[in-house]
Amino acid sequence: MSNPESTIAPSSNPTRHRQGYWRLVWRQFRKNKQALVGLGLVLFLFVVAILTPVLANDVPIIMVHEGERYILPYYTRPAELVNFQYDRWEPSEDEYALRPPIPHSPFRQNLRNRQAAPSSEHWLGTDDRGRDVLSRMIWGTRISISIGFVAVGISVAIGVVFGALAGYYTGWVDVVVLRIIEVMMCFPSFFLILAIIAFVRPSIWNIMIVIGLTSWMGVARLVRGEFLKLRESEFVLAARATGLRDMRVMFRHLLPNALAPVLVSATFGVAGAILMESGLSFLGFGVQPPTASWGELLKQSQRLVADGVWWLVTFPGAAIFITVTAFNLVGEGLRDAMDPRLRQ
Amino acid sequence: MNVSTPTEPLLAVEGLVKHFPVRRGVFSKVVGAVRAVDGVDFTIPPGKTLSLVGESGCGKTTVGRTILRLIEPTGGRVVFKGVDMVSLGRRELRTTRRRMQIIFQDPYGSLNPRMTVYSVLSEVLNAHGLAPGKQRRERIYELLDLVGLPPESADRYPHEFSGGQRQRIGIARALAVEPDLIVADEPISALDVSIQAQILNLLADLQERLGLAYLFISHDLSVVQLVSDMVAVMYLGRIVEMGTVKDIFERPVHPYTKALLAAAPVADPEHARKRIILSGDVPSPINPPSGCHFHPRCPDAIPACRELEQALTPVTASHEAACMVHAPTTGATSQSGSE
Repeated sequence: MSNPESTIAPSSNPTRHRQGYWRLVWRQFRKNKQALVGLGLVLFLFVVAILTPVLANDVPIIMVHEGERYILPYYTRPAELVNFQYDRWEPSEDEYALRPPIPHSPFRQNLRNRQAAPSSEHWLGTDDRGRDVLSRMIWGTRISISIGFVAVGISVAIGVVFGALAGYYTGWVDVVVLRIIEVMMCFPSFFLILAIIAFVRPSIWNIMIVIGLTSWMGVARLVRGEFLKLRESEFVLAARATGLRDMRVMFRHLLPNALAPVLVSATFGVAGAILMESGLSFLGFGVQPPTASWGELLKQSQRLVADGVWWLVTFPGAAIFITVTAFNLVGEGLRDAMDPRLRQ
Repeated sequence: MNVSTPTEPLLAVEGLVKHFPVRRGVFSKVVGAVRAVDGVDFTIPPGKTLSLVGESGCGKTTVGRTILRLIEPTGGRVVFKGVDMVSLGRRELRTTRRRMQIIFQDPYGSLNPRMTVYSVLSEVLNAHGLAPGKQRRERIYELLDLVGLPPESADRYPHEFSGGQRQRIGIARALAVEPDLIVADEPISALDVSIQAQILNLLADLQERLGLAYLFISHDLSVVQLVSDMVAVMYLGRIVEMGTVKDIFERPVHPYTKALLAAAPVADPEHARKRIILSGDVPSPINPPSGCHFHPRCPDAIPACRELEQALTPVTASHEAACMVHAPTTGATSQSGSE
């Protein structure tokens, strides 16, 4: 059977076929200015979250102390420096310290300098214990971003499994899963979380898990819908006919083709989880002091804002607002970029 | 039921029924059924091709998918190599179905866009423990060669291929599990005419080399005439006439078959043909007409057609038709008794 049709045009670009779909999505995404701004902000927050200890800390990045050279002592934690007072230490002639750009620890209290207004020393002022607000906000970024992503990771994992089972098996499995989803959606999730937090220790991990466990329903419904649509498609029928196991058909054939809308929903989910954590911390049920979080800074401001301590309200509030907006812009951009009807 | 040669059939379908429930209302009450397949019998001997023809919506595709239990049948038996597929549990079905495969109409929809040809084939081999270890790659190249694709195509994604090439990949996937029967569900209707012939030649070539039997589902009579040993004509979920290619194309008995043949274009401008124009549309399979399903549109209908269902009745040894006007039996009833 030799024929002209079975000759294949040489592939001009070897990476093209791998990313065909995502390349198309990216090209569309790029046209959306707002989404690009959102993406830029999200990437910026990522960098801040990753670099936190070298951005805002009283522990130097590089230091020479008593003839010894230390690189990134925050991470290496040399035994002889365990109780070292970094903030009081002034390098002498033959000593040296390269400090982070914000040379304040988020935990170091300075009771003589409480509620100080923004100055060249403390750019965004200090809180009611004299801690640097900017430093605490930078550390709070790490908390917010990680809660956002881990909580959404948990909710996507649960949602994908439930949605996949319901959409693939249909019938009574579908009915059971849908009822579970409906019951879960009946609870106002914020109050459900408050109730659960009353019973468990409100650590950062517990908050991630609780937010994840109460926000998977949307993902489950999305995945179920995609599976219902795809399970009748011919490549899935072919996979079943060739005798592949159900798990393989579900996770290798159906899921990769159903993930695009999940990604969009996950992006919105990150924004929701960050907002949720801020709300919990604001009410005192979230991340516990002295751990810094945006919501926790806002909580302090409740009492102080009447005394004119405006910086404790403005800056954490703006950070929450900008972050949530950025994730929502990215989510909207992704959704539009993936919608084939909007493609020119 | 003895349309074919009297050898042991590879596949015997007996009284196959598939009704899709029609649900309404808050509590999804079943208010009716789409009688997509309403009592179908046929056999396919090893290495032969039976074509199933009929217009859109007559249940051809449902028959094909029900045989493989990609759709669960409502009733009837599908005996494949002596085993009733309908009675098998999930696990037995996985291994037994291996000998029966399907190729699809839409070469764009029948391949997972996120998997290379190699991983598609490898996965199928893996599922049945075929060609393990070092033989795997070799076997995949062999399969690709069998369907006329070069080995380089293994590492490519479906969207890099043309329609005809994709159809070849679909065929290679079906062949990977070494089937005896392939259900070809309109395998060429979505292809360019020039490519159609290549795929048909490939299917014929594979039949010869591997001794495959085909259930060839099509609405294209000229193709059916070319590829089939036997032809079954379906109308509204039932087979109305079945016989060898010669029987159906040269001596059609059922008025519906005659109308179908009259409607098929002939590549001869001089050819004068008697057109049989059927009046009306195909009735709804939710509420099919009483008696013979075809009677409201039949030019030869007699009053009894409205009342009585006519089973397939032998016309000659190899030819059956379900028409009380043209293939009458005494005491026609709704029971199938075609012996």
